[in-house]
Amino acid sequence: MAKLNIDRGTRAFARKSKRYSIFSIAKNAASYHQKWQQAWRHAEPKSTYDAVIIGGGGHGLATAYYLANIHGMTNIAVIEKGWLGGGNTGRNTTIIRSNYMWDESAAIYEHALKLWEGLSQDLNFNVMFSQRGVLTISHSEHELKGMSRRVHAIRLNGIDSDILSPSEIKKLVPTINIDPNIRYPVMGGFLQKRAGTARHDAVAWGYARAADELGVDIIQNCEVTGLRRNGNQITGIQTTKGFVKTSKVGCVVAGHSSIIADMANIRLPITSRPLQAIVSEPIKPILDTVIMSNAVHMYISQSDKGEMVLGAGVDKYNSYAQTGSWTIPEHMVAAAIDLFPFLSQLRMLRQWGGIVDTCPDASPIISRTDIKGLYFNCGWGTGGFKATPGSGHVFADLIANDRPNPIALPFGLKRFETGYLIDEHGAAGVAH
Amino acid sequence: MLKIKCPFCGVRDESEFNCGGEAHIVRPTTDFKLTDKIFSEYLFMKYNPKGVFLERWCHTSGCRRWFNLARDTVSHEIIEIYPMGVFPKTVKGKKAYRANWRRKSKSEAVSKHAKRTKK
Amino acid sequence: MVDTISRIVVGCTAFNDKKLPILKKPESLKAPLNELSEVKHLGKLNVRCGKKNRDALGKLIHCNLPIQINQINGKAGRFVISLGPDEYLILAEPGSENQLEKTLNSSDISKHISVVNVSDALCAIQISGPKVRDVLSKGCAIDLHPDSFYKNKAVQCDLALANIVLVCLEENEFICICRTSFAEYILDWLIDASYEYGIFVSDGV
Repeated sequence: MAKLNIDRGTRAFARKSKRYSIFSIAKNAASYHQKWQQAWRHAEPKSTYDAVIIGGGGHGLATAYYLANIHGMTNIAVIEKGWLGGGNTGRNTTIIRSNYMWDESAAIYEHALKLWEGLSQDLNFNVMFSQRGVLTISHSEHELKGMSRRVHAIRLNGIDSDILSPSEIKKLVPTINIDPNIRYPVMGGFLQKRAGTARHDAVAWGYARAADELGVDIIQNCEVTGLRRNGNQITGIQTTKGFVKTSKVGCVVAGHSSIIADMANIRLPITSRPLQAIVSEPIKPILDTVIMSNAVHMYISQSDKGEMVLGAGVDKYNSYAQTGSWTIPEHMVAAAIDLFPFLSQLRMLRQWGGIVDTCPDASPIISRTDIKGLYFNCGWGTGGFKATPGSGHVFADLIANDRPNPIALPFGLKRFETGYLIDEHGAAGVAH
Repeated sequence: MLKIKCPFCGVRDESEFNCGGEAHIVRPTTDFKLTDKIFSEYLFMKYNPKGVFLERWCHTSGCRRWFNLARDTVSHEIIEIYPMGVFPKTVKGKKAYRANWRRKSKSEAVSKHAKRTKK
Repeated sequence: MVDTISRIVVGCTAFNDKKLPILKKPESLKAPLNELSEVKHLGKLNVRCGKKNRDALGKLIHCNLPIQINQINGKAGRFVISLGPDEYLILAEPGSENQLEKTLNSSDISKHISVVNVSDALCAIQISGPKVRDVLSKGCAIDLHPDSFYKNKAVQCDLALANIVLVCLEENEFICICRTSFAEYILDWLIDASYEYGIFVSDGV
């Protein structure tokens, strides 16, 4: 597995006035918490920047932070057409893990996980990273065999993965139904103990605050309407707030990647599909692990507010509507009740969707393009949130140095010509 | 839940159907003009519009026949349903057909079929 | 009951593992309202035939083909369901399907049609009673109101999670054709869904 000498970029918050701590809480209590400094400025676009990141989600803000912190590029901007973190970053089911089979995937997701393990300290912002473990269940003889192969591959890459029997699973998850007579019985599972969840909004806000502190302009409610180039070199972007001159553009817009790519006649292999999530009413703590199931087609965890958070696979057709169709949650909950009978007593309170950019090999695209200075980071499909810090870290490296580092290299667009796809449909946990 | 009017069975729920992705993709002929880049463009690259999209659907729970469908990917409004092997007739459908980058792509240009039926 | 399909009790069926008859009803009901039985060994042929040879096919099987899709035509114990613009399901008397298949395959149009004997691949379940529509509506999204789904109408759809061809023979008499491997699932589902009205599953007549 490719290893990177990780510079985590931990040189934030020289100014004490902006540093969060027990002392700052105490001090601000005296003034009724009305004097907290704004976490980030609402910047207006300058006429020119050294680099512009299109997309103000977790990945885009992380990219901007690492560009400023590690590569010293502070004259940069993040341009977001809506509100910060309002896209997939604000809609995912918060699962973080790195137990992927192929070496290339293991490298990037483990790179991300290592960054997650210390991110709150790096950013001086509590991202609520909870390493409660992620358990993937096997429901048949051949799933057990596939799991075995997967676990060995994961461990060969130095990543933690343990195989559990049904009784061990029952000890870990008392509310699960291990009756061998249900339609998809629990026959075993593999657990990554270091995996878990984090608060999705917090990671966007944490990166935004840290990037802003370093001088990065975060410009919201500003939509990119065109990409300007001189021959084969990017010269700037056209936005609803005017033209911005720049020679480096990093595009991190997930489900809208094709829209931006079309502006420069770049072809991408992604389709935009709805991915839905559903939460129940809040209840007392009953589940302290994340459970994923391929056969049953669902994943479930319990949020800090006590809600059961459930998700399934993507809808079957393209959509930018951020809703999805009701058949998916219906099928998913019916199957989930088989595994967790207590769910049948809960009311489901909210349902929503995001727009996921799915790739033919279920692996991301971190790539230069045929246009100099134009870079794309997309195709994360249903598994982008877990990679947030790692994705931003390697994308910043790519933009700053105009060459992919060993972790990003396998994910270039060229793999669709060479045929060197990284097929992670099996590891994704649910179908793409 | 989309309500789709199968040309043979009438209006049914979307759960009875399977979406087969983009319609009217022309396979490039395998002659000396075909490079890795051109074939990759045909096989992997996608047209992914935020607007009217022409798709192929199969009525898997019913008559199991395929048909084409023009749908808006934002409002989910179904604009037109038309048979396999035929091109859209509505204004929006025709516009969506022409707006697709494949119409100007090398992967379609090297196909004899496209030359015969180009609109 | 209309003079429709004759049934012969012989050999094994799709409900081999079930102990028939089954009677399920709530205590408050004196007698079950619905009845269910398998139409055993019904001959079934799946025929693909284009528009040109429709009339010839109809003559060969002694029954006119339905003009519209999703309809059933019947004549003297033989039925034809149109499943698509060029696809038909012929329901023939038990035991007659082999001869019928031979007839079709040696006919003038044999080179232009395809005949597949699906007698054992599919299972036909007859369900009748005043509450059948209510029961089926629990798992079928089709409009089963007597005004929309009446005699001689057939439809291909999902019943719960199984794919079926549902045929209306009379106002309160339906035939549900499914894959044999799904027959037990459909039976279990129908028994479960019919419980409140009571159901009697017989071994067939």
